[in-house]
Amino acid sequence: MTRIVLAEDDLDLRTLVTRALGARGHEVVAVGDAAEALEACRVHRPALLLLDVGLPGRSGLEVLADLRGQDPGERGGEQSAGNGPRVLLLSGHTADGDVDRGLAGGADGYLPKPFSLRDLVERVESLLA
Amino acid sequence: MLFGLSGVLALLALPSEPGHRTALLWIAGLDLGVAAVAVLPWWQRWPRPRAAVLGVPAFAVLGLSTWAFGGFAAGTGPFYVLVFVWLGLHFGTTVIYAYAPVSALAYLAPLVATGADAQLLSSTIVLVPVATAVGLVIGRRVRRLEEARAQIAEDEQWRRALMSSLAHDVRTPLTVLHGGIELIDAIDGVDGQHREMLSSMSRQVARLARMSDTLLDVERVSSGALRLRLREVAVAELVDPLRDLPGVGELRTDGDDSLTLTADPDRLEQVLTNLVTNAARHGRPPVELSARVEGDEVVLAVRDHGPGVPPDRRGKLFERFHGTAGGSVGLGLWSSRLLVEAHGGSIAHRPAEPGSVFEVRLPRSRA
Repeated sequence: MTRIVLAEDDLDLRTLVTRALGARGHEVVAVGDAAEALEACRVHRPALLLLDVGLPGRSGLEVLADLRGQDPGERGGEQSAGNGPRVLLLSGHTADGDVDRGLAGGADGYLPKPFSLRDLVERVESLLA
Repeated sequence: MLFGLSGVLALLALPSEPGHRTALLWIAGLDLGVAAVAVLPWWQRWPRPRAAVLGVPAFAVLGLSTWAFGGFAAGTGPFYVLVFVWLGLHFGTTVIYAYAPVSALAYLAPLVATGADAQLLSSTIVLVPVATAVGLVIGRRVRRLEEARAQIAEDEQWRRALMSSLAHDVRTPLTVLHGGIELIDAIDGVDGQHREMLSSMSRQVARLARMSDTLLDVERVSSGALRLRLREVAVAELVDPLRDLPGVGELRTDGDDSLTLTADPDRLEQVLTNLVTNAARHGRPPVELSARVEGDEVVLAVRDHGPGVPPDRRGKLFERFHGTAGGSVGLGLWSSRLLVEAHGGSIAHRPAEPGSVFEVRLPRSRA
């Protein structure tokens, strides 16, 4: 079973994604804001973080910066030691620049909203492969 | 400026009027002083009512000038109007009314002091009301412009909020709707009729997503932030998703759809979707899509077999709010044009027998 942290402020989308990925055999820890996302990454050491760019308060990009700014030795988790969780940004197209900054800041990919669950599962599993 | 000019004139008059030397020096100094105050930006930073006190020295200078010229008021009259213009530009009605008696005093006092005749004194009755009226008219116009400007700023803020809400905020709900439809569709035992309903819901969700895309791109183009993600695209790759569009029915393709070109596939698909959807909605089937090479260009043409575009609407098809007939905002063809032009291409309409042809011409490669 692969552990995935989902940081998304919309409760319905959290439920939907949790259910869809759960059905594929992944364990999903769903959180609603930046602080919870960082805490969940620290506690659960997921292989993948699904990160909404437009989180309320501190944005997904700030979470990414914090995550990638950590001492590489402290990251790890289920992924090979030192690499930290892979990060897939979920973007509501808030701004193209955000996506570019996210990719430059260490995200492994982005999925623009609205996405289909099929696309999401495909992207998640290709990142975890 | 006029105060400055009059100060300079007073200085120039010095050699020819040695008898009025002191008076001219006073006038020059005071005029230049008022002009300097007017030019300096600091008084504009004062709170409005406080800056209005500057009218007092201005009228005092005018009164002193009249007195220094021995009661010759014709030269200073226009300056009274000028001060009221300034009051009108910067202050409210109350300040203008308050200065009416002040200006009357500044005008009359030196005339009385120099023993001017009754005819000259009576000119106050004309000058002060006229100057006050000029100030009031200008003030009212300025206030109206300020209100209109505030209204425009407010409307613009509202437009941005609306645009942002339609373009960005709908994307999460659309994801949830689409995902919900997918999950229900995956359940065994959903019968054909319900599956049909699910697929029409899914198509409508995709349509809303496209509207949101169009708004986003329009916003990006107007703010100069549109960035294309160019890559080599096969025409077939663009055409396939068009077959699933609602109401398209039969979509015939001919020409060489193995052609490739350098483009942003999402944007180009959006353009073709607009054209094919319009053809299905306003024209009649079959809708034909063809691709061919002409010189250095790839030409993608969408044709329908409907009544065609009325001649009086052809010239404005690609302008904002003119693209489609009633019931639509008319951003589709306009945004298509913007996206095609962003690729360095062009889009055009020509009538066909029967129907319409919309042609998109794009450079084959963007070396």
